[in-house]
Amino acid sequence: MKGFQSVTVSSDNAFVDIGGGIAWSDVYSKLDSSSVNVVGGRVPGPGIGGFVTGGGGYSWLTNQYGLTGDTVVSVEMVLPNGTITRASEGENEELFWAVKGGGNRFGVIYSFRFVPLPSFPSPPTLTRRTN
Amino acid sequence: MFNTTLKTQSFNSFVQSLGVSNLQAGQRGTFNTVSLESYTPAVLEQIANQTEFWGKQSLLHSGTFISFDIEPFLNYSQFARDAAWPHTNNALPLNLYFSWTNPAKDGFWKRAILEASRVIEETARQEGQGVGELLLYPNYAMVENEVGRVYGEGDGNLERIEEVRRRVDPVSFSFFFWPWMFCLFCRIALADV
Repeated sequence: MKGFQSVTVSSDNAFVDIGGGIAWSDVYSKLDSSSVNVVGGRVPGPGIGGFVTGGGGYSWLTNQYGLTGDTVVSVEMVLPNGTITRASEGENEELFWAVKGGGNRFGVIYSFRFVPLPSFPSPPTLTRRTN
Repeated sequence: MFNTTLKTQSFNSFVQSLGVSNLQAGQRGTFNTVSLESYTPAVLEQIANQTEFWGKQSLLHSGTFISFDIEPFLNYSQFARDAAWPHTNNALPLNLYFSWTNPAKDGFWKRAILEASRVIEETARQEGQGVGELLLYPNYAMVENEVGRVYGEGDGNLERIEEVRRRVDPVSFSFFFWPWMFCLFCRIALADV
């Protein structure tokens, strides 16, 4: 899955598409210069691939936004029979339900679409009062 | 975690500073988990007790690392979407990780982590925590746990997962990819050896 490591923020910041082969720490690295963040893993190492299908997942942002799976809009995947398909709330709903924690036996997810969040604001700049 | 870079920093910088996942690279190890309603003093005391107890066993059994990660999230069920791993009751995942070097000690440490988990869960149960209702987090749970502890029992959840799996994978190509199914497959396959 090393070829699936792209992170793309839509032009209107409405969603973030992330390839199924990337590690979470690389996701954050790629989003660092953007104005958005995602609810993802907590340490370098774990990849996105098994994270959502493994129940994921707990995030530093879970207190504010829930588990990673609660912020997934849709997935694109290859089924065991080779069919490429998309699943979301509205399309292949049972499959979408199943991949959120039900394991990796439903196929290979090569792209996840997430709701992006505002990144944490930079610390406020102290300005000298002139009056 | 082992973060010595406490300072105001970007989210990315913060996550990168937590790079300890390969701390025990090249060694043998296992994760497990207990799901709790609350990290009470009694539970925390038991966790400390288990850390000490199994830590002392390390020297005799090639143990190198005993870890209990306490993860006290606030309520998050209000964000829960319907999902194959239900998470609507604010379970708090305790993350256990033991590592060792001698393959001959695999059995010992697997039993150890299960026993540590059992004792902590029992402590919580004794003080009234409804731990039996809380599902184990699949990303942490050892395959030796009953699948019903991870996905629920008697509520149709497992059956619903299996129904989806049957529809997309009728010939069971993926049968051996998911840990609990892999274990079953191995037992069947090795039975002929």
